[in-house]
This record gives sequence, structure tokens and C-alpha cells, in this order.
Amino acid sequence: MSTPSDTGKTGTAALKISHFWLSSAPFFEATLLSACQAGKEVEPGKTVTSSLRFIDADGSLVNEAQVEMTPGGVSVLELDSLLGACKFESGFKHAHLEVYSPEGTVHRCRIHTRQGAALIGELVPMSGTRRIFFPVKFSGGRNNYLALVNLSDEEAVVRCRLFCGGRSPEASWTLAPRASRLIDLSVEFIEYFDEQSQLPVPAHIRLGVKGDYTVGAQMIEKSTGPNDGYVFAGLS
Amino acid sequence: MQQAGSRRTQSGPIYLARWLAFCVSNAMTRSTFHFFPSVDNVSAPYPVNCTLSMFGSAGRENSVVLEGGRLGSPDGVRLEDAFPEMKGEMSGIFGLSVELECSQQRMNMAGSACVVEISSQGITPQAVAARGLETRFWPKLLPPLPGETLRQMSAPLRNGSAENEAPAPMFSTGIALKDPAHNTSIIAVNSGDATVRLLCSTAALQEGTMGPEHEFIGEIPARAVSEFALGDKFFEQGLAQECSWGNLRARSVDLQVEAPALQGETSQISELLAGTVACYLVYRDAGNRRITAVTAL
Repeated sequence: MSTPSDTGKTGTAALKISHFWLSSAPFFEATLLSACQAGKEVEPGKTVTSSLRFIDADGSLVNEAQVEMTPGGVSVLELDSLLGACKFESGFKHAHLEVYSPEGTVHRCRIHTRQGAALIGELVPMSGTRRIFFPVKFSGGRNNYLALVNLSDEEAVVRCRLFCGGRSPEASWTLAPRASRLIDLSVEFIEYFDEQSQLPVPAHIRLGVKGDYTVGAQMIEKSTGPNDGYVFAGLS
Repeated sequence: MQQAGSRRTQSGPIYLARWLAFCVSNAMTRSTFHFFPSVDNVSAPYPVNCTLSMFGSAGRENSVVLEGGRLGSPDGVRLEDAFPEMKGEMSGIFGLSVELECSQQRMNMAGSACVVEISSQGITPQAVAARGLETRFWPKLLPPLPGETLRQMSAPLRNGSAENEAPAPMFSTGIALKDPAHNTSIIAVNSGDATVRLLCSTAALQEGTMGPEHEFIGEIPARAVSEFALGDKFFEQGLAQECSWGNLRARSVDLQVEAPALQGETSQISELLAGTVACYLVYRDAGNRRITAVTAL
């Protein structure tokens, strides 16, 4: 798979890569916000460019785009129309967004439904040497979605351990190269809490992989919102 | 997890991961602190101590040590359990200083991370309410204390883990929003002993190139937390765009701090401020002012 730096789209300047997990309606819609540091020196009239690559759940490149910013400026791009070619996985149309951009730029993802909006951060990377964690709460009317994105060119196995009271069950999932998966932890670990209970059960999950590859993760929480709709929240 | 006393015991740690965060406590809002002590390539469950220090409410401060933590085991504590005074007389926004250390020497805590969770309940009758809504964020990792020899721990980080990265500017760029769903404010946490001034840079044409100009945001007293709402005037210099979901105003936020009262070389002052000041962009629901997202700068 070629990258913007491979293809020379952004010249020889060092690029950083930001990774996001996205979904499209009716789950939630996403908007990418990009900004460039005010102190970044560029010639008057020139802009800073970020290249976007949309990779669907099975690892296929489905779309590309670019956003331009001036120093101190913000660029806004609604992403739903760019995700149309993504395949369904776990009942959702979702994708992995790679953003190639020069140093001094920053990207945030605004997600929204009719009932509310929030901002989510970049994927949290884990590797053979680095484990990560997320706090979660289980209760009726709430779903905890774990988005996993294999950032490597080889198959990855993600191991998850739930820490809930004195119990610590494990689960594992396999991801094809560059593929994404969305896992509903409320279903995966359903026997460890009362799904009818309105009292939230706090827990943590620890994630890790074995091998020389990197997987990114994001936790998205879906709760019942006003008028029988849903609101989402993610770690930022 | 057991709590041991309210004073931190000096057990001579060598490697220390430190974060500077904020938390909220009032009748409708509670905060929980989650942490994950971890050392790359080490799976042995060595004991870990987590020290939480709360400050910023009318000069009141308190500190507790959470004992019983283990490497590789995530844990959490409701802050009103760690600081019982939060249950009653104290309300507002507080500074929260966190130190994570392993009793085993020469352990690089760079793989550790923590999360602050702010729970709002019962804001509107239809709300999400019975279950509440949580907002979680990765706090700002601080550079090592003077004399800390573990250079790999010196990088402030995007996702709150003590990752090994090249040294970064004191604050990363943020994006402030004003749209039908959000208002944005800046929360600045000053754990130092001097008042600091907060400035925001904007791009301006200077000598043929675009360079920054500085706009005064406000002052943060010593050992205090301040929130600065970003109003319409702030967004006049930003982007205005009509989106499918409504009109958006957005502006890049590049913050700097200065401490006029501090004497010394600029580099020393910068190093001191980098270890004692943290800034966050806080996105609040435009209707009920509930915090919906927080990003560390």
C-alpha cells in the first residue's frame, strides 16, 4: 500500500501520521477538524496540506482527500460522504482514517447524532511491548464499543482482559492486516453484569498484542439519550 | 485499593510518572480517577503507589497515597472517596496532581497511563440521566522533576501515556469550537508557587512571513485552577463555516504561559513552568453546560 510520502504528494518534509476510527450514519457522523500552529512559519499566501486516507474494515483503501490550512487557521471536513464505499462490519459502516500532516498541525474528530455531539481523540497504539487500558462502565441502555485497527501489514491478535470486581476474564480477537473491528464489550462480557440494571458497574480493560506489530484502539460509549435517541462519547 | 494516610511517604523512588489534571465536584457532577501502572516488557505485578494531590479550592489542599496497586493492573478511585471533603463542603473545579511510582527500583514507568472521568447526572428530565453520562480524558503528562535521570520520560503526550518521544513544545495546538452543540473554554491548572499569565498566539503577517501575535487570556494564581470561557470575540479571528449540522465557529488555540514574578534564565523558567502548568480545552454542551469532551494541550 503506497502512502503520501511514498508518492511524493507532500514533498520531502517529515510527516506525522494521526490515526482515527470513524463511523458513518446512522451510528454517528464525523467531522474532521484540522488546525495549524500559529507560530509555524510559511510564506504569505501559502498553506499547509494534510493528506487523508480512508481504509475500510477489511483493510482496503476506499478514498483519499486533502485538507489545507493556513498557520493559526482551522479547516473543517465532513466525512460522511467520503465513507460511502466502506463495507459493513459488525453491522456498521466504519473506517480507519490516516492523516499525514507536517509537524505543527493537529486534528480532532467531532462526532454527532441528532441528540448530541462530542470529540474523540486519536487511536491509542499498543504493541508487543506496550499494553494499554480503558475504563468502562456496564449497565442497561449503555454499550461500550471497542474499535480496533490493525496498523500493521501482518495479521494481529489482540488480547483483552476485563478487570471487573474480583473477576478478570479474557477474550482475544484476530485482525487481518490493516483491518478494523468493532467489538461490543457489553455483549462480549455480558455474563459479568446485569444488563437490566440501571446501576453502572465500573470496570477496566487491558489490551495487548503479542508480536512485532502495532494495533490502535479507541473506546466509544453509546448511551440512551433524549427522545429515545443515542449519544456517544469517546476518550479525548 | 487501600488508601494510606493523607501524607505521602518518601520511599525514595527513582522513576516517577507525573500528570497534572483537573476534576469537578458539585451536586450534579462527580469525578473518578483511573490509572494503569505499566512497565514495558515487565509482566511481574510489582507493587505500585499512586499519590493524588488535590488543590485549588480557597487554599485548601490534601494529598493521599493509594497503596495496593500492581504493575499491569488497572485501577480507579472515586475522588470523593479519596478526598471525603468533596462530598460536602467543597465544590467546583480542582487541580489534581498525580504521581505514579513503582517500589521496585529502576522501573521505567513510561508505559503507564491515567484517565480522569467526569460524570454528570440528571441534568434534564429526558437525559441520559438515570445512567448518567461520562466524559473521559487523558491528562497532561509532566516532564520529569529536576534531577530525574530517565530522559525517556521527558515527552508530554497526546494520549496521556508516558511514551518515549522527542521533546515537544510546552503546549500543543488545540481547536476551539462554538457550534449548536458546543461552547469551549480553557481550564488552566497551576500547581506552582507563582502567578502565571496565559496568552494565546494568533498568526499575523510579520516581516514578510506569517508569525504569532499574543492575546492575553487571563491570570492563574499560584496553586489554583481557572476556567476562561471563549466568547464570540475570541472567535472573530477564526473560521466561520456552515456545516450540515449547523453553523460552526472554530479557531486554532496556541497557548503560552509567562510568570512575571519569576527571576532567572528563560530556559529555567520555561522548564519550571512546563512542570507546573497544564492547560485543557473543555467542550461544554451549549444547552446544559455539561462537559462533553476535554483535550489536553
